[in-house]
Amino acid sequence: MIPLYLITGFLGAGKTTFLKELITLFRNKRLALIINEFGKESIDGVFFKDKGAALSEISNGSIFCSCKLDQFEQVLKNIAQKKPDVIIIEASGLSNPQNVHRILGQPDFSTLDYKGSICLVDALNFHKVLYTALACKQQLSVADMIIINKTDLVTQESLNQTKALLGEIRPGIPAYTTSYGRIEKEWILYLKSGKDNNDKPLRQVADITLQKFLLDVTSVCSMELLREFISLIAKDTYRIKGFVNKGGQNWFVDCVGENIKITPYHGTADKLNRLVVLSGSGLPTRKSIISAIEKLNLSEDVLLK
Amino acid sequence: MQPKEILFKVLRHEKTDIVPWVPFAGVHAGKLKGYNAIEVLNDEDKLVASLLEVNRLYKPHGQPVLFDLQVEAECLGCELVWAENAPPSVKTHPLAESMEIPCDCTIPTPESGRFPMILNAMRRMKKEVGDTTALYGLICGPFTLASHLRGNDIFMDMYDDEDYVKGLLNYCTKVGKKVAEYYIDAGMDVIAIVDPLISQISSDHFTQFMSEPYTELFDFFRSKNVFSSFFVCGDATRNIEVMCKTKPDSISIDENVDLITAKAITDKYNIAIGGNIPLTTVMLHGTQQDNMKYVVDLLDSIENKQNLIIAPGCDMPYDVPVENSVGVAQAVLYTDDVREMLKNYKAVEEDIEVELPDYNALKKPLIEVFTLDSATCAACTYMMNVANIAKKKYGDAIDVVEYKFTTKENIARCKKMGVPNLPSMYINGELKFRSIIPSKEELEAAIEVAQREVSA
Repeated sequence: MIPLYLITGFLGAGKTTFLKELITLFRNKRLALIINEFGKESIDGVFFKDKGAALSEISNGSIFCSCKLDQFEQVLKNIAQKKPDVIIIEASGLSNPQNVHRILGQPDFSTLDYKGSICLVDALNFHKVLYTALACKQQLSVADMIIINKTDLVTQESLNQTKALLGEIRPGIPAYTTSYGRIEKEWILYLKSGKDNNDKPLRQVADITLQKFLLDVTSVCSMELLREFISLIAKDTYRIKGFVNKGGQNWFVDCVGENIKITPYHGTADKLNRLVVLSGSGLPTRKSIISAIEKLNLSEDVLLK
Repeated sequence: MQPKEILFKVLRHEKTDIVPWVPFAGVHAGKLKGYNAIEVLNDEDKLVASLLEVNRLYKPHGQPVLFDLQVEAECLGCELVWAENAPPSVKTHPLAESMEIPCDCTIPTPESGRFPMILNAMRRMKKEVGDTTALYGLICGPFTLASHLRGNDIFMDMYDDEDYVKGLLNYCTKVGKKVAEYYIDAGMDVIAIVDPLISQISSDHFTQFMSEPYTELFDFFRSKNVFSSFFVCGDATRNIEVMCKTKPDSISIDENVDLITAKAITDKYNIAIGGNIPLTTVMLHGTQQDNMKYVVDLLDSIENKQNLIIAPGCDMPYDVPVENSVGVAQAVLYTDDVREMLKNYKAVEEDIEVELPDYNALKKPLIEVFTLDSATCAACTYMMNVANIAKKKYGDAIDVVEYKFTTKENIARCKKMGVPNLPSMYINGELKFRSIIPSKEELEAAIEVAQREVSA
C-alpha cells in the first residue's frame, strides 16, 4: 500500500512552505507530488522542480471539482502504477475536498493507503476567511489534523481564540501550532484518516463567488509603482502571486490579503511578469484593480486579463 | 389507456375524453405519511413513501417528484432557512456584493447538494409508478435562480447593467440545462421550469432578458424527447403571450390569472394550459364540496377542453386536507356524477370582521404587503425583502406589515381592501405595486411621496 497525504488550507495558509518541510521527513523515499493551483498559472510547482520528487501539476481549477476530477483521477492512476513510496497532494487553496473519501475509495485506488488530510490554518487571517470563504469550512470539515501556522504573527490571546474556535468546529481532531510551516515527525506518525465524518455523504456546495484575475505587468512600470499598485488592491484580494522582473532582478510577489511580500528570487521564474490575483466573497476586486490602474495612470503598464 | 398517456396526448395537443389532473403535492405529500417538510425534502425513503401515497390517494395522471425551487441555489452556496410545513427559503445571496458571473465549473453535478437523494427518488418512482403516471422533474427557472444568487439588486441591475443580467441568466440557463439532463436520465417525462418571478416583470423585460434563455431551454428539452412545462405564479397575465412564444408544450398558472382569458391566448399558440385551483381559499380552507364545485365550474366554463390540465395553482400548502384533493380528483375523473351531487350545494361564506387602519389619520407612512406567504412564495419573498430593506433604512419613520394569505382573517382583509393580486404592496392604503417588485429606488421614491402626504 502506498501512503497518501492530502494537504489543504485556504489561500495564504502556508501550504507550500509546509510542503517543503514535510518532504524533508521523507528523505530517501521515492516521492510523488501532485500540486493543484486554482489559477491557470502554476507558481508553486517551480519550487519543487529541483527536489527530486516526481511532480505532477494540475492547474486552473480544483482537483475535487467536476471540471478537473477526470484529470486528477488519471494523474493519480498513473502515479499509483509507478508505485512510489509516498504520495503527497497539495490541494488548491480554494478547493472543496469533501468528496475525497469517495474518490479515493474507488477500486482503481485500492493500492493507496489514505493517511488523511492535513489542514493548514493561517493564524492571522483565520477569523476573517472562516466567515467569508466557503472553502475554508469545507476543508476543515474533512480534516484529520489541523496545523495552525504563522503563530509568530499573532498574540497568545488571539491564538487561543483560534484554537477554541477550531475546537468547536472540529472537536477531537488533533490541532498543532507552528510557524514557517515547521512540522514534527510525531505529528505525522499519529495521523489517521477518519472515514466520512457523517453517516450520510456531505452535501457538495460550490463557492460561486471565487474569482481569478491575471495581471500582465510590462517592463515600463517601476518597482515603486508596482508596489504602490499592489498596496492599493491587496485589501480586496485573498491572494496575489507571481514573478516580476524589475531592474534586471527577478522578484517573487506573494501577498495574503494586506500582508504584502515582495522578495528577490533567484530560481527559475515561470511566467515572468504575470500576477495571479484570487478573490471571492463579494470583494470588489475588479473595481479595485481598475480604479488603482486609473489612479496611478498605469493603463499601459498593468493589463487586466 | 394508462393515465399518463392521457396527459401525453394533451401535451401533444390532441383531443382527449377526459381532462388530466396533476396534483402539485410537494411538501404536502409528506403530510399524507406524517412527515414534515424537512423530512420529505431531505430523506429519500420518506420522499418516495409520501409520493407513492399521493399516487394512491389522488390518482393523478402526472405528479412532480420534488417541488423545491431552492435545490440548485443550495448547491451554489445560498444558505436556506428550513420550515416544518413549507419548502425552505433562501437566506443569503452569494453574489449580493459582487457583480461577477460564476465559473461554469461550479455548475452542479449529480453529486452536488441534494441531487444524489433526488435522482435516486426519481429512479425509484419511475420504477414504481412510471408505467401509469407521468413524472415531472421541476427545475428552478433562470430568473428565479439568478435572483436567489444575486438578491433583490437584480431588479435594479435590469436597468443599470443589462449585460451583467444577461450573463448571469446565461449561467443560470446552463445550470437549468444540466439539471434537466440529470432528471431526464433519471426517467422524468416532463421537465417543468418553475419561475414564479416571471410574473413580477414587464413583457418588455421578459422579451429583452427571458425570451432567449427560455426558448433555448424548451428547444433543448424537445431535442431530448421529453415534454415541457412553464410554471409561473402570481399575476402573469401580461406575460402569457410572450411566454407562449418561447414554445413550451404547456403553461401552468395560479389563481391570479384568469384561466379562460389565458387559455384564449395559449389556444392561439396551440399550447396546453393548466392550473388554477386556488391554493388557500379553496384547497386549504375550503370544504371538499368547495373543491369539487370549483373544478366542475371551471370545467363547465371552458368550452374547448383540448389543451387543458387541471392542477393546483402552484405547490399545494402542506396542510391541505386530504379529502379536498380527493374531491378534486373525483371532480376531474367523474365530473358528471359530481356535478349531480353538488346540484343543491351552496358555499357557506364565513363572515370575519376585520378593521382597516384609518389611513387619513396616519402619522407616518404605512407599507402593507399582501403576500401568499413570503416564506414560501419566491415572488412574495422578494417583494417583502424590498420592504424590509426600506424598513432598515427608514427605521421608525415608517411602518411595514405583512399580511399572509394563509389565515382566514388575512383573506378577509384582502377582500375588504380589494387586493387584486398577490403579492401587492400598498402605501397608506393605496395600491402602489401590483405584482411588480419595485427596485429599492422606486420604493424609496414612493415612500418619500407618502411622507410628504402624511405631514401635509
